[in-house]
Amino acid sequence: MVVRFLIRRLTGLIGVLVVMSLIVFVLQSIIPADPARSVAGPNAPAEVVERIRDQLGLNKPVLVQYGDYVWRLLHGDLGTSVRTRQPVATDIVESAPASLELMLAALFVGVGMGAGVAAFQHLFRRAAFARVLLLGLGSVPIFLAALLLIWLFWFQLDWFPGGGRIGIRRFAGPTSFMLLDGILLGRGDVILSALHHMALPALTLAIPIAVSIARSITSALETTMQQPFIRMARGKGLTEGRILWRHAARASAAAPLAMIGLQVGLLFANLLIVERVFAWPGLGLYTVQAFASSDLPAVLGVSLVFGAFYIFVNILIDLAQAGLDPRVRLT
Amino acid sequence: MTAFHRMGLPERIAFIMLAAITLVAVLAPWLAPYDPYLRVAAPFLPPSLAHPFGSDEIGRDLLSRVILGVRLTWLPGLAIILISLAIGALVGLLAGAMGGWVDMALSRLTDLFLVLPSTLIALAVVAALGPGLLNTLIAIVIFWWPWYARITRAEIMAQAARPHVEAARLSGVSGARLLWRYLLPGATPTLLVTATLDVANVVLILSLFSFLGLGLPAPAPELGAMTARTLDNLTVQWWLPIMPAAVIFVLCLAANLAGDGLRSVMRGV
Repeated sequence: MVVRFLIRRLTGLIGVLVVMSLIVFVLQSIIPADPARSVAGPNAPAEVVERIRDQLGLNKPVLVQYGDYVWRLLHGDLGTSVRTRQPVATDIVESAPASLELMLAALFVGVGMGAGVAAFQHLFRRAAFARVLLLGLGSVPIFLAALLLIWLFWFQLDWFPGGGRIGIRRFAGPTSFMLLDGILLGRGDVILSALHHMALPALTLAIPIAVSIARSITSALETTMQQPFIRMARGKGLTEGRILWRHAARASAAAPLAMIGLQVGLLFANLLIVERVFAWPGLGLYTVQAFASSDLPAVLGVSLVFGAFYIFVNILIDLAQAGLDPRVRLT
Repeated sequence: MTAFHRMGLPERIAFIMLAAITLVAVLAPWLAPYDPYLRVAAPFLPPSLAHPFGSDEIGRDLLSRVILGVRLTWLPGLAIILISLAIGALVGLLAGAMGGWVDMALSRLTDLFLVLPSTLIALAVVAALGPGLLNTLIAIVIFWWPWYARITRAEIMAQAARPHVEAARLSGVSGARLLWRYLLPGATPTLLVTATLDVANVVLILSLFSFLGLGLPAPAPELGAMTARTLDNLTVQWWLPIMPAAVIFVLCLAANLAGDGLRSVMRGV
C-alpha cells in the first residue's frame, strides 16, 4: 500500500521536475539572445563566435541540447554563477544550511503560534478577536514586520541583534548548522548566540505561517466538532481541553498539514526578503544578490533546487497526514 | 446592493475604503500635492503639515510618491485579478460543462500549475525575462488563473445537477446561453469572495516583487522598492522605509476585511 503510494508520488515528483527543468531550460536558452556572442564579447570575429557556439553545443538540435542539460543536472552540474564564479551547486551547498535552519525554526514557531491562536479561539470563544487579529496579521507585508521587529527589539530595546547569523568570530563547525554544531561541540556560547540571532528572522518568517495555520485549524475544527465521536467524548464528560487535544486534534490535522505544504512555496519567497533585511547568509540572500547582478544561472539553479525541495516536502506531508489521521488512506 | 446592507459596520467601511483606494489609484497624478519625481524640499524632512509623510533622501515629497505608488500597486493588482478571473472562469466553464476529454485535458493542465511552486517560478521568470511591471503581471497571471479554473469547474459541476439547469435544458436552452445564463451565475458568489480576498494576496506578492527589485526601474515610486532602497535609514529616518510599507498594509487590510465580510454575508445566503 505505502509502497504503491510512494511509487505514484515519486512518478509525480519526476513529472513536476521535468516540467520545471523544461521551464528553466527554455528560460536560459532564450536569454541572452545569443549566448555564444555574450561569451565571446561584442568585438569577437564571427569564426570565434561560431567555435564557441560549437563548444556550447548550440548547433545541436534542441532536443539533444535539452538532453545534455538534463544529463548535466543529473550529475549535479547547475552551471557556473556569473557573480561568484563558482559552480552554482557549490554555492547552494554552502548557503543552504543557514536557510534550512532558519526555515525549520520558522515552521516550528509558526505552527506553534498558529495552533495556539486556534486553540485560544476555540477554548475561550474569542472568535471575533481572533478573526480581526488574523486578518490584521495576514495583511502585513513581510518586510514591514521585519522592520518593526528590528526597530523595537534591536534599536529601541537592544534585546536581539538586528542581523547576521552568529556573534562569534571565525566559528566553523562540522555541519554548518550552527545549532547542531553548538550541540555537537558542546559549546553553550555558540548555541546561545545562534538562537539569539535566529529569534527575530524566524519570528518574522513565522507570522504568515501562523496566520494560515490558525485559519485552517479553525475551519477544520469547526467540521470536526460536529462529528459523532466528539459528541460521544462530550457525553463521557471529558473537559473541552482534553477533547481538543486527545480527540479533535488528530482528526483536524489533515488540512493544516496540507496548508504547511502550500506555505513552503510562499516561505521561499518570504525567505528572500527576510534574509535580505536581516543579512542572513543563506540561499535567500544569495538569490537576492543574484537578482541584483542578473546572475541567471544562479537564479535558475536555486529555483530548481527549491522546486525539488518543495515537492519533496509535500510528499512527506502526505505521509504524515496518513500517519496522523486513521481515516486517510494512501492511494 | 442588498449584500452591502447585510454587512456589519467594519466591512462596510472596508468596502468604502476599497472604493476610495481605487479612486486614489486612478486619480493619483492629480491628487499628489507635489511632483513625485522632483526635489521640492530639503532632504530627510520628518513628517510635518507641509509634508505629511516627510521628504526622502533627495528632497522629494514622500506622500506624493506614495500616492503614485498606490496607483502602481493597486491598478496592476486589480488587472491581475480580473485577467485571471476571466481566463480561469472560461477554462473552468469549458471543463465543467463539456466533460469528457476536454475536462480531462484542462483539469490536468490546471493541476500541473497548482502543484508547481508558483511564486518561485514567477520570480525566476521575471528575473530571467528582465524586471518590469508587464513581465511581473504576466508571470503572476500565469500562476493565478488555475485557482479560479478549479473553483469554477467545481461550482459548474454542482450547478449542472440542479433542477433549474435541468428545466432550462428541457425547455431547449443549450450551448453558450446555457453556460452564460444558467451555469456561470451559480459560480459567481464563490469566485467573487475568492477574488476579493485575493486582492490582498496579489498586492502582497506585487510588493514582494518590487521589494526584490523586479518591478519598475529606480525613479519609479513603487511601494516595495521604496522600502527596499531605504532599509538602512530605519533607525534615523524611519518614515522612509516604514510609510510605503504601512500603506501596503492598509491596502491589504481593506481588501481582506472586505473579502471576509463578503464571505460571511454569502455564507448566510
